[in-house]
Amino acid sequence: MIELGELERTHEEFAKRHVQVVAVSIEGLDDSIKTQKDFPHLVVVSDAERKLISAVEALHPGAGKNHEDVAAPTTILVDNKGMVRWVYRPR
Amino acid sequence: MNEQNQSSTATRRHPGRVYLFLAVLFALVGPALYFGQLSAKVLTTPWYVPLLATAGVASAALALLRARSIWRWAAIILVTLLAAAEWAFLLVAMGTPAYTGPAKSGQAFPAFATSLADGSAFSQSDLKGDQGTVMVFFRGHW
Repeated sequence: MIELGELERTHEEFAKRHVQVVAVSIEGLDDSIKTQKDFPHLVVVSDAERKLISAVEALHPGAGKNHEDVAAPTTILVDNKGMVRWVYRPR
Repeated sequence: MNEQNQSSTATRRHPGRVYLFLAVLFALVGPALYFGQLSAKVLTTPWYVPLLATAGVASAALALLRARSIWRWAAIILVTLLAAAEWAFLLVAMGTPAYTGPAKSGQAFPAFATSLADGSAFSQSDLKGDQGTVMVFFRGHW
């Protein structure tokens, strides 16, 4: 969640560059609503059914604090034509 | 003069006690700083937490070399366990496998259809238009 705070703090810089910031996790709707409230300038996806995360193959099985599946921290930059420009995953 | 003598006597009675205090301080200050970092929502990997705990282990070892007591043994055991747990958390728990999925630079973003936190639909067509997108996948609430 740290990275979301940093993205929220710098949202004006993204807006200036005509870039939307989309935050994705497999949390349920209630948690996603809370995340949206905490980070109002981000576009929060509630991907509990894992449709987006499966499409991108960004699931990290069993890596949650209680060994549940979570999204693997990954950042993808997409241009305004829907083309991927950069993929980053921290080690 | 009298105070100096008392201080000197205390140092002789508890040699290396300052290292014991430093060990405890190093062990506690890392998690406290990390709590502050989380509160401030600052984006950095907290390498300083296990590093401080490791410094605490070294300090506890120095204290133990100066004098043996049950407190010093307890300190070095606890601080070592803490440092090991912190290193394990950063190197293993926070580690992620290399990305091998279909999102590749220069190719179209994979097709998908999901929903936003407000319940509205969100798909790959929402990535096209007058703005680019930074898509951040995150673990969720911890």
